[in-house]
Amino acid sequence: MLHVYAVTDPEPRPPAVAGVDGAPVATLAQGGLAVAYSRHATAPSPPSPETALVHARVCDDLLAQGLAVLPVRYGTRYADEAALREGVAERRQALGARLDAVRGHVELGLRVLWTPHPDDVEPDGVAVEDGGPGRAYLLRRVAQEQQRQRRREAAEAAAAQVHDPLAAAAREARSEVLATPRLLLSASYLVPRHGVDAFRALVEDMAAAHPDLDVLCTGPWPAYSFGDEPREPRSPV
Amino acid sequence: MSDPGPLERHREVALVEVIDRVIDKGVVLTGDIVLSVADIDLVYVGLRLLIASEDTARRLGATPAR
Repeated sequence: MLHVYAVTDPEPRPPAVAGVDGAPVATLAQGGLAVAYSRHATAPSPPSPETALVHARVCDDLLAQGLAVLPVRYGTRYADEAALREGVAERRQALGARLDAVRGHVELGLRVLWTPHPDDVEPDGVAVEDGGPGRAYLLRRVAQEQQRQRRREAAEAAAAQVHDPLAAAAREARSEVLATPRLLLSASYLVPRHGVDAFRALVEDMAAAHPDLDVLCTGPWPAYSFGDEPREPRSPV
Repeated sequence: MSDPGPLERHREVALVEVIDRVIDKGVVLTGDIVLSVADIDLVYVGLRLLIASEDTARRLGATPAR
């Protein structure tokens, strides 16, 4: 069984690091692309912090070779090389287009935590007038829904203040608002390899301008978040 | 001293970020994804909790963008 790490430009050097379960990492060229994988007699280990790190190190090694790299989601397995070739051939065009999009770029990650206003967390108490418990229930439901929407709108606005200028400075961006109640924004930005310091400076300015937010910038990473075409419009930069 | 040092905190946050990407992001090839959803959920739910926890908020504050 094969465990797949990444799709990349041909021809990568075999990564210097061992793969999952200590298996050596091999590469295979297919239709103008290359794939890094390892061969396993039995099913490779399920995801754990250790195996995730091994997977990530292989992708890092390929990125360090200066290649365009699309990390493959952990758990992608093929029976043998023929099946792997077939799987890559099916998506060759889309993968080639994404490799072109990320070439020369790296991913920077951003997490922004906020402290929601306490009033926004608990639904308003609704003054219940006459009309019985059914009416009271419905009023409460309406109030809860309004509360939820107000909170969502406030979060979208606060997240946009941080995200929009950063997205404009990146080639592409992906973002999610309120993945958890405190995680205002989790986002990834595709930035030129030589533009990492400038982008980080932008993030630091952003953090300084919003002292009420906790801002964490991570990377540079291989383009984990950019394997699919953008849903957000691509910035002209 | 129950509070881990800055380097240790930094490592933990970095590990969470790595796992989040390796498991939840990345290209999905049309292959045999043999991982069950349950496998992923077990790891991933833990991550989400960690990222959302007050403790992590403190850590994030302790390791600002740099």
